[in-house]
Amino acid sequence: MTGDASSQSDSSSSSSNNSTEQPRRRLSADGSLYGPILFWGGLLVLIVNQFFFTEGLGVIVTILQYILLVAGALALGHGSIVAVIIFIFWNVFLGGTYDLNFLLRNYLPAIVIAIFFTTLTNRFTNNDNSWDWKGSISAILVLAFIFIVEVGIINLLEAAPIGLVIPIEFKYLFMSMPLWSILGLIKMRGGKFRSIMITILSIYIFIVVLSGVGFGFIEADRFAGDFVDAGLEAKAEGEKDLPSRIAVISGTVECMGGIFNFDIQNRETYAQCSAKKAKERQYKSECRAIYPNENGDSKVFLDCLAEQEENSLEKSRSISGSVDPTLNQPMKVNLDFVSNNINYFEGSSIPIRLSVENPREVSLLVEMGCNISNRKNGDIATGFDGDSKFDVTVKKFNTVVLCKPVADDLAKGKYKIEISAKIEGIEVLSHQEKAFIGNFNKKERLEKEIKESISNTKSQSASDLVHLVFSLNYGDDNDAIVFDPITTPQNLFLSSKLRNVGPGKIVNFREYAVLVDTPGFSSGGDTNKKCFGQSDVRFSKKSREILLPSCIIDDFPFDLKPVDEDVWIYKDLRAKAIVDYEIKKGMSFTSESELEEQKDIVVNDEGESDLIAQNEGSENVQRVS
Amino acid sequence: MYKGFLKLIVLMLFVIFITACSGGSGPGVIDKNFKEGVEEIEIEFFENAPPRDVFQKSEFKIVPIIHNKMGYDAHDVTIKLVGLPEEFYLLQRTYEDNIFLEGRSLVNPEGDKYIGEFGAQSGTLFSSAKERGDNFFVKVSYSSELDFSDTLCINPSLYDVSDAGCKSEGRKSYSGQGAPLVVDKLDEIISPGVNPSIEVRLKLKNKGDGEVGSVTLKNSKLGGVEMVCRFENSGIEINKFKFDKDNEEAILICLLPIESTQSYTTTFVASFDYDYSIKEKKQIVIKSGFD
Repeated sequence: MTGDASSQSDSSSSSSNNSTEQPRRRLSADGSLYGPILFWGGLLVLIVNQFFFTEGLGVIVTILQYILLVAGALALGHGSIVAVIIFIFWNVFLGGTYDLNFLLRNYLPAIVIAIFFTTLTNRFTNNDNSWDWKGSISAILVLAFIFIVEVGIINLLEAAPIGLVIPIEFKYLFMSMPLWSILGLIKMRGGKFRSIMITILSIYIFIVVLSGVGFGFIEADRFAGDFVDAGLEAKAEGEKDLPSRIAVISGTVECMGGIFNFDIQNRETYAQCSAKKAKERQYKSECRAIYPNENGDSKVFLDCLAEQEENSLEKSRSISGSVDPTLNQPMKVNLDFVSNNINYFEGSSIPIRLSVENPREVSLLVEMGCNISNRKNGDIATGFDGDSKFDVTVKKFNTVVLCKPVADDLAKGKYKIEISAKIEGIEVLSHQEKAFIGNFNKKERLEKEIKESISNTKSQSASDLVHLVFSLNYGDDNDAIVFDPITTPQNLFLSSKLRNVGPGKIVNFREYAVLVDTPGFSSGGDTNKKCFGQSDVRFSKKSREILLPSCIIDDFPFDLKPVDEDVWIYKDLRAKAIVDYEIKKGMSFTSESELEEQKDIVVNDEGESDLIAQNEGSENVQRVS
Repeated sequence: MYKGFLKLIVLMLFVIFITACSGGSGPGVIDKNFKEGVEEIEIEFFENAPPRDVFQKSEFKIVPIIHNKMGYDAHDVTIKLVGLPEEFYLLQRTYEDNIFLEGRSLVNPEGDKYIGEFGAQSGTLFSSAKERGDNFFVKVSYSSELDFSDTLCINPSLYDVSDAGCKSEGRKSYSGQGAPLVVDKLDEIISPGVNPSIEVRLKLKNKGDGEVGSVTLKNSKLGGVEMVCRFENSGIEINKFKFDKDNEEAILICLLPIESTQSYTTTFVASFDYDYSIKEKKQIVIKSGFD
């Protein structure tokens, strides 16, 4: 290896008087070129990292970091370029591997290439072949420190089997430092500009150190909870709280290594690697949200990561079937009093707010109701100012209705008001995908391809106020296959139920129909065929789940029994129900003359008001949701 | 100068010679044996038929291209479309049958191609679904043949050192006979003695991507003489074997008394009929509108 000259870093020792060597020296010895590169480049990296960071810019920042590393090595001299080239080779070409066997097999050519380039560089920049070991080690340490801090591969170092643990505060602090720029200023020739910049940077560093934290990084991802001592916990915290931008940069470094991976069979493109890293970051972030206090390498956390990955694969596999992004967005109907404290005066009305979230934009006919009563007089005739019936077909609907007594006045006393929104004729749809194969003997042969086509075998219903769940199976809802009942003694079971998942009550169950659009199913035991549907269903209004008649299917249409060995019929079975739904709310109020006797009221979402405490003089109305 | 020039000439001539030897590209010169290796019917799709994405209630076509790459003709070829739910796809037909595809031969070195056409119309998506993806299958089933021949050494006097004729090789392996069903191995077992006989065991294996239905032995001859054969684990029909998940290999056992006492080489031939089916998966996505 050819050494560098100490004269490179020491401008006073650039002793040549030969004017023809002047251009060479300008490139290295006095840092006149590398100083500004390091200064401005470092500043750019810092600004981008702190304020404008995006995943795309991460690649550019990483490349810039490598350029700065080389520039730093050339500016510091002492042969540090050899170490830098070896490092770059290890990180980029060998993917930063710690595998000793791999390194021994592949590192030798890397060193040869590094020496070759170093020789060329030294010949280009300097004629001095002496070797200053102390200077070299110092230069390498400085460069390594800056690069490790700036590129954000501290966490990679921590991952290395050397037991390194760095407290997170230090990471933030160092990452907020313009280290390349400081090095650039040191290597820059003296002058007014240099003095000004040193002053500005000193102020900046002073502020950062004083504040004890880095700037934008903390904003982006300040870790919650108490920061316990160093040790393993610090390592775990460090991993979990390293800002996402740092994770992106370190991911970029790793991916750039992958491009030059010599292991052709296992090598991946930058795009593949980048996508993989992005997914890994996403899984980590999702698991961190679920297990905020869990160590990054704990079993629970690792299991969570595996689960996230599995879920993601499941999603990509389940491209077959319907994709409805609104399916998990619930339909919501909210009814509320605009004011929680009603003081009724003559001629005034009670405003009621109706808000509907209708993500699937189904047609909903909402009819408002209002009932005012008191113990003495019973129900009092009420009416609405303006419309009280709405045909909602939009995604979000908000309105206010005004309820008022028909007589335009209320006698003095305590009153109860109950408001309601009745949604008429809600059509609840549900579907389930099945494969009808004909003879039972075909099952084993066709099972695999059916699974490739039908990913979700359960009945699917939108997240509305009411769910209709139906099932056609042999006891296992995960099996999509249905065979000719004649070919097997197994019972084909059809069952269905209506589930109230909204805040109100089903007030009228108009009808339901299961296996609609697929006539020809028969059940010997169900002579009235109630398991396939009926009208005006009787049910308990208090029940949140209404079980509908079930039956054993003993036959179905011939065209669902394919004879051909290769053929199976893919059916999307449908079911629907039509119900009326009602949401109620209530509260008590007093007329103006009896305000002193007002009571604390608890109003639940079912609209049933309970008097829970007598609180003289209080005007509060409490709500329990 | 002169020597250098001469070297150049020699080099050029050498290059021309090498090029001429290895040339002859293109279909002009055919010396290929089409009945070797593993070949089968391939299913491809005409470009954009079906399209990757279709909108609701739009018409499109599914156009599979069935290419017979075997060294044998394919009879009774049937193309079936399976796995498209009728609630979302209205298909004009789901199968085409009675297709004949000539295999590769000297007169038809590429083999026949058949372009099927299945008209379809997409339906309406369920409720508020934005899109729907369906994996469907184009399945092709057909009947074809398999011919096998090899030269065997029949040596009934195994212990006769004076017989300097051929030597039985015992077991032989084969890469294929130009079809997905192949004769993988042959075992030759000689029973010496007063009434010597030969037993030939053939192992048939499916090396294609599809599934073999049943195999029927048409004939098997040793030196022009019909052998008595049966499939191991066959049913009542001893010359027929049904492949399935539990029976992925078929063993054919053929016997023949040997009349000669001296060793000799002769040709063993066997030919089979078999049913085969192969499938190709494809996906269609019905979209409610532009993303």
